[in-house]
Amino acid sequence: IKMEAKKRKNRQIKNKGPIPTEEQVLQIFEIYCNETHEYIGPEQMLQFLDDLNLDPEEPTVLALAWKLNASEMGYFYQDEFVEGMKKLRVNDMDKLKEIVEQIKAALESGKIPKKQFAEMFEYAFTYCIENEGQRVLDQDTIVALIDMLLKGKPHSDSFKKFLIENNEYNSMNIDQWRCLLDFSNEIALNVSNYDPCGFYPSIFDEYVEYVQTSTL
Amino acid sequence: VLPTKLYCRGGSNLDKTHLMLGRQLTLEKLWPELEEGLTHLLTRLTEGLSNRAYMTYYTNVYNFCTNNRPGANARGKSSGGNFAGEKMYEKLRSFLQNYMVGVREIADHRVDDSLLNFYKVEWDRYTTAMKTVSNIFEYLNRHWIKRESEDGKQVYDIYTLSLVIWRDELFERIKPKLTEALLECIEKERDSEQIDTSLVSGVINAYVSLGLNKDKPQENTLMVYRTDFEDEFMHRTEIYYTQESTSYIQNNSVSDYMKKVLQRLQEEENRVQTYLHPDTGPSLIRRCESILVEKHKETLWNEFQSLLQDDMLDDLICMYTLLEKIGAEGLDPLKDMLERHVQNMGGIAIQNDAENALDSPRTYVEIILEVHGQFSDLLVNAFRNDPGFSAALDKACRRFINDNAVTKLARSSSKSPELLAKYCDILLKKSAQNPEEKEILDVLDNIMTVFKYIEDKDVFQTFYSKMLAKRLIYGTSSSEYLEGQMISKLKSNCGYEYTTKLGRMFNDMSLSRDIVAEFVDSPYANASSVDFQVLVLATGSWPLQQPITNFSIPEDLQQCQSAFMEFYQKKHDGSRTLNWLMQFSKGELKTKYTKTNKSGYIFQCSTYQMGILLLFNEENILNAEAIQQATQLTDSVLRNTLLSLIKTRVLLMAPKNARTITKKHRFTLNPKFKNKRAKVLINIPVREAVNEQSKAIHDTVLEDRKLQIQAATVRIMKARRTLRHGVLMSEIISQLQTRFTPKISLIKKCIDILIEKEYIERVEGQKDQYAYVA
Repeated sequence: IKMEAKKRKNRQIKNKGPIPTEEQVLQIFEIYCNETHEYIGPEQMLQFLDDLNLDPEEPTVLALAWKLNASEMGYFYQDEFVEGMKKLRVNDMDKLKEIVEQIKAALESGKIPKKQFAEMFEYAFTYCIENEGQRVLDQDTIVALIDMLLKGKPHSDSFKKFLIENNEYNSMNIDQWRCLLDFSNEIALNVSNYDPCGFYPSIFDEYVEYVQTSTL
Repeated sequence: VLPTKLYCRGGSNLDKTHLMLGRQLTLEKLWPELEEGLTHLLTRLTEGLSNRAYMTYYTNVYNFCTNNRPGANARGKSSGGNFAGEKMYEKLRSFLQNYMVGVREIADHRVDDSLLNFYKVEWDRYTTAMKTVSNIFEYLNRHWIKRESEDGKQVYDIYTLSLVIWRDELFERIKPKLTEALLECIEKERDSEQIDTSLVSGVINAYVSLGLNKDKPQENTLMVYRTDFEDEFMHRTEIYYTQESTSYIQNNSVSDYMKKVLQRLQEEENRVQTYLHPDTGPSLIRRCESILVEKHKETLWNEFQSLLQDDMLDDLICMYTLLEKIGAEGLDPLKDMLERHVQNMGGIAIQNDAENALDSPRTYVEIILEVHGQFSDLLVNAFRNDPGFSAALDKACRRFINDNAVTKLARSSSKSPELLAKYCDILLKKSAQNPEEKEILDVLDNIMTVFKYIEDKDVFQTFYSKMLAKRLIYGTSSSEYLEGQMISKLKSNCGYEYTTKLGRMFNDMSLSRDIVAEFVDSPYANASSVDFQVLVLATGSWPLQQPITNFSIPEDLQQCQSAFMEFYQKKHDGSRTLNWLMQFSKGELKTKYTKTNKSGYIFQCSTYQMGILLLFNEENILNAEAIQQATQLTDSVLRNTLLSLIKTRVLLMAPKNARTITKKHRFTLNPKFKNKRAKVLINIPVREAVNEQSKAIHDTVLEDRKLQIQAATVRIMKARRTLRHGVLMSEIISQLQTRFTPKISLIKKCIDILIEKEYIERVEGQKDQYAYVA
């Protein structure tokens, strides 16, 4: 997405394209924001996403939130919105729709640079944190995130099963979450290349045992 | 002495020697008499030479040489004097050569011993004579010869010349026969025949003496000895011993073979001392060791196992001595076999008595000590405390002590330290036998020997602390002296920190005594009707947990408790809280209900037992639920207490035999209770309780280990800032290894905890590296 954006940026610079003004962005904001004009909240979000042809459950939404660096799930605060839209060079709804389509396409094709995806992956975790000082996400949230972000990737189904069936691990912290991405990228489906003495957190030792015993 | 052919020109009276002077002196005039004298010396040495004759010859030579000094000659150097020296030298030389030819003619007809004899005799005579001759020609030696040899000419002092002639005219021609004769003698001696060793020695010395350095004739080399004797000698030795060892091994036991080898090696040492040149020693011995030991090392190795099994000490000593000679690689297979053997024996010994040993710490430890002792002795007696063997023994002991039939039965790798600690407890407690303190000290020493092999040392320490605490609380220590001695042994093995903790417990005991004395003197003491004692202990210093159950204290005891509480709060102005550990409390109850004994019994019981029994003052029958209501004891404690009362036949249960006690079970006092003694100890441990305690302690150890690992990890990361995962793991393991061997999975869990608590973090982009979070 960044490359796309960069290209567009270059093109715009070449063409001396528009960096949106505050007013242009605020215009969009005003369409959907709440009464106090502080944010686009959960009540308004559905309409906003609908107008962008987005299903609330799909990963594009998460990506959009990430692009806007949204701090709280379900909310786009005014400053986040303005900053984010400026960075994306969005000056009107059509442009926004365009960009959303690009993000969608990138996600679906899987052609996202590893580093970027990892950033988004980590962002997803902190995005779901609701309470101050909360360090873990519960099982249901994790499962939902896996569905959203690791769909079709190796281990996603079996790891979800493992979480549900396992009694000891009912939540995950951000370190385990981050490692999950590496795990699904590096470890074979039959876990033959996993080293239990290695650096992966203990939850993965348990998971590997689970895989090994269930394939017996 | 064999008769020799006389080759001198008839006897002459040497006293008729004439001193010749001056211009009279020509070689033609001089030589005949001189020759007579030389001949005399060479052939009739034993008759000796008169001083007069000697002086005459000497002076004649002198005068001849000096009167033919370089004159004023236009030629310069090659003058008359030189020429005279040369002429004399030549004359002498050809004389000696002739003589040699004669000797050789005789030698040609001899072989073997007769040759050797002849050679030695001739040599001795010749060399002795030539020394004198050389002295006679001293002037020549010092002047003409010296000058010529300095100029680089092949001219030697007379003695050396004689050796050269001997060598060239005689030795070189007969040396094959001569050497062969020597070697045959040696072989005979190896075949246990008697030989004339001084003969051999003499001839060999002659070889050595003939080793002249061409460039520096005064110097002796071993060239002749080596080339013409030693090489062939070594070769024959090799053949001889190769043949002997192969056939001997086929026809005899390994044990006999080893003795034979040792004997042969000693023989060869003696041979070197007796008649070989010392230089030959090291290489000879090494060669023999190679042939006799190294080539047959596999045969020896294969025998080692059965020697171990049959405990054949002498043979083991032989085998070690022999294989040690061929270096470390000779002994390595033995070390491995010993290690396996000890591990096996240890394992079998424990397995044979595993059921017993599981429950009897004394049995368990004694088995271990016996195996260890047996092989320690072997190490000293057979293997001379060889460090490699000692290490093998240690490895094996470490294995069979920590992992054996008993630990498998207990399904815990930490069973060994637990049993070891329990054995200590048995030894330090008062017992019926009351053995001598010295005996116990010796056993305690042995226990520390075993302790060194224990891997989970922290388990031992935890159990020991707990049991020490109980001994102190219950007053069951046999002797303060022994307790103190044990503490010092622990100090050297476990470190200062651990033993200071134990020391504080002792301290508390005496502080407690002081407090109680104060209490007794105070007015508060009158408040209660029951005689009682209190132990006041500092929470941090004792490995005691809070009670796991509530307890409704019997009224009589409540009085005591409040009285003391008041006293104590007053003393410390309410700044300290007292937690009552009822689970350790005990007391005595007097019974009046038994039918078997008029005066009744005194029960020494736990306070929980008391709580239950006192209920029967009000009721005859009680069911478990009621008892629980009244005492407020939790299920498991209640169960264990009731079991102990049933076991000791104080209480009767209906229905009688039940697996588990339910709320409906009914209890009554047993009126038919009988015991030999008037005072009966009914506070006995119940198996379930003991097992639960054991498990609880193991859990404590586990929790403690987690903390240790985390502390070590933080320390390491703080010092090193960033570390790779693998390196961190090995650092942690090595830091903790004196206390216990942490499992990888446990370390990983601790790392997870530390990451979550943000003490450490993963390095961005390098998932296998950690960084310290300041």
